Formats: sequence, C-alpha cells, structure tokens
Amino acid sequence: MDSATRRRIQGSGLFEGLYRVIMRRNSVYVTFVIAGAFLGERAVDYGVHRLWEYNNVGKRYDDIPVLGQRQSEE
Amino acid sequence: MYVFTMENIGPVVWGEEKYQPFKFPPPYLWYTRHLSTCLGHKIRSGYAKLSFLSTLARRSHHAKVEGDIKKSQLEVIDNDMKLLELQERMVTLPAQGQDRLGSAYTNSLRCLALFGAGVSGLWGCSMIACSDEAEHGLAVPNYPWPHEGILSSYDHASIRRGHQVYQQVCASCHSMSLISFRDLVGVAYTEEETKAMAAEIEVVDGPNDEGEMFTRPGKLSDRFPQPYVNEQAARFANGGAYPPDLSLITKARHNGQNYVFGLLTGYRDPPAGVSIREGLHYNPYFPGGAIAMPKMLIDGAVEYEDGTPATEAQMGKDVVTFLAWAAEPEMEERKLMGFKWIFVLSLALLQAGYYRRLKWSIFKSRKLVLDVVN
Repeated sequence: MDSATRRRIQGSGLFEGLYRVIMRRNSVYVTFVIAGAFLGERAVDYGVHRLWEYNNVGKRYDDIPVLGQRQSEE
Repeated sequence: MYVFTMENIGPVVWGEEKYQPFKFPPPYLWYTRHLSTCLGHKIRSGYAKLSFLSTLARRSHHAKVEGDIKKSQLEVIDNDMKLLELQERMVTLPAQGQDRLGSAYTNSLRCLALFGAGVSGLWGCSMIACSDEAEHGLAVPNYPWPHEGILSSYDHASIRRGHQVYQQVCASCHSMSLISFRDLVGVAYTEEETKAMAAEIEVVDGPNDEGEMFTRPGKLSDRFPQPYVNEQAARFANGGAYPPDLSLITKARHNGQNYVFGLLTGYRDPPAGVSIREGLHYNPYFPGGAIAMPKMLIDGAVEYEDGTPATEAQMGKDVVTFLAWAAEPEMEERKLMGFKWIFVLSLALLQAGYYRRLKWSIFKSRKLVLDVVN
C-alpha cells in the first residue's frame, strides 16, 4: 500500500513521463534525436536571428540612410 | 573459500512491469557521495595545486590507511600469535608515529605553498601593470565600440563613412592591398555604387594579343589601388618610414582597435624636456613616442554623405570601424555561429550527462557482498 503510493508519485513527474515516452525503446530514442535535431536547429536559428536583430537595431546594411546615393551623384 | 554475491536494489529484468525506474539524485549530491572515492581524493589533493604536494598528501594518506588496516588485523590475531603481534607492533609503531607527524607536516607545507603561490601570482600581475611606457607606448583606454559584445554586429553606416575617410585621407600613403572592391558590396555600398567607384581607378592588366601590357578602368574584382609601387618607393617618399598596409592593422597590433583610435586622436605637444627631431611627431601611444605620420584627422577634413558632423573623434571612430571590418569581415557570421553552437552543445552536454547516468545507474545501485562459504 505504502510502496504503491510511492510508485504512483514516482511515476508522474515530467522526467518520468519523458522517460516513458522516449527512453524505453532505442529506436524511438534515435528517431527522437534525429527529428529533434532537425526541428531544433530550425528553431534555434530562428531564435538566434531574432535575438541578433533585436540587439542590432539600426546597424544593418539595409539601414544605411544614403544607400544608392553615390550612383545618383555620378 | 570466498564467494561474491551481488544484490541490486530491486530486480533488474527487461520486462516493463518489473523495472524500477532510475531516480535522478539532486545536483548537490552528484559529487559529494564521491569524496570517499578515488575522484574525491583527486579533488582534495588537487586543491593544493602543486604536484609534489599532492603526491606527498597521497603518500601520507596511504600510510594512515595502511596503519588502520594493520591495527584491525592485529586485533583479529589470537593469543598464539602474541609474539608475532609484538614484533609487528614494533614495526608499525614508527610508521604510525611518522604518519601522525607527516600529516601535520604536509598540512603546514600545503599552507606555505599556497601562500607562496599567491604571493608570486600577485607579484606577476603587478609586474604586468608596471610595463615600461617607453617600450610599449602609453596604455590605451578601452572604448565602447558598437560592435563589441557577444551578439553585436558592425555599424554598417559607420563602415561606409570610414571607407570614405580612408579613401580621402589615408589612401594617399597607406595601401590596403588585401581588400577588393567586391568585398564592399552588401556591406557598405550597393553593387552599382561599387562598380562606379572601381571604374574611377586605372588598373594595369596582363599582356594583350600583341604582347603589351595595357591599362583599363577598374572592375569589382580588382584590389584597392596602392599609393606606391613598392616598399622602397614608399620609404623614399616618407623620409625612410614605411606606412604599413592597413588590411589587417587592427589584428596586427595589440588591442588594435583601441590602439589605432588612440593613436589617430592622440597627437599632442611633447611634454617639457622631450624633444622630437625634425620630420617626426610626438604621439604618446606610439612605442618610443616619435612617429613619422603627422596628425591627419582634423575637424571638417571630410564631408560625410549622410551629413554627420566630421569631428576628429567621429572620423577616428568611423575609420577604425572600417579597419576592424577590413581585418575581420567574418565577425558577424562568426558571432552568430558561435552563439548558436555553444548553446546547442551545452544542451547536448546535458543530454550526454543524463544518458551516461541512466546507463550507469544499474552499476551504481548494486551491492557487492563478500561472504565465506562453510
């Protein structure tokens, strides 16, 4: 009775849930790693570029105010 | 006869219902349990930071452990072995006495060594701070560059202005032979602007069908024009001093960006008693204090396209940003890549740590029982 309640508490956390879904079968684990790498890299790229643009407002090549003016002066 | 038996905490079978899931210990316990193990000894003795000290500590600890083992062994021996026991006690006594003396000795030696290391470290740091100004030039302050920081890009408008300053002020003496016109496209100028800029210069091109060299207007693929044909001509025109190529100057000088800015804006009258010969100028940031280049950045020397007031400090900042870009054009890509992959690899490190702990949990949670049969 006591051990049963302990087992129920043990089996309901986030890590325990993740373990049950991913780590039981090696094939599931490998699939998770490869798909996670593909999708995760896309997400990280997007996040890092958003962070870069947030941090560098006004410093980009496209923000140069006189872009193209030298040609018109010629 | 001795027999080893192995008890696990619970049965380990590859059936789902019988498997006891691994419970991750909290992080503060990850290494405290190991202090009694080999790793713990290494951590404790590595704290002394000197190899001979740690071997000394290890030797004294081994002597203490051996003394403990010998003591327990002696208690087990029965009355028939009392003579042998006395003999062993006589042998182990000096070892035990030496060991007690040894631990105090190593303790004081450890303290002395730590104190000595601290003093020598402090002395070394102070020696670096007291470096000779005549040898290294006046120490340059660190300016807050807009492209300084882990996720900061170049100010591209500043690169454009800096190229303008270089072209009008510096290019008469300094070459930048590693930069091509095409490098500016997408960084400071559009393709049409760069083509027009390149077409303004004349470039000597290879033999034509008649075998003669000919000149043509410049293209995007041409390098920046050189003011002098070779180094000797440069020295001859500048009183024996060679104006260095600026393509990599911010990487070629210690603390290059701050140094170049300090140098360009640091011209002043020499202090009383210091005389500079004719042809040289006083600059405290230049090693030796006497530089052949005169002060070039004067307020209003350049008229910026975007209307920015061309003060000396503004021109200095823009030209140093341009030179920093010229030396390190890959900086933005490098910072992006570095941030992304350091982040990804630290996640991978966490995964690797978890996976290792998971696979090792079987062995970490087993019990070994040494038992006697019969």
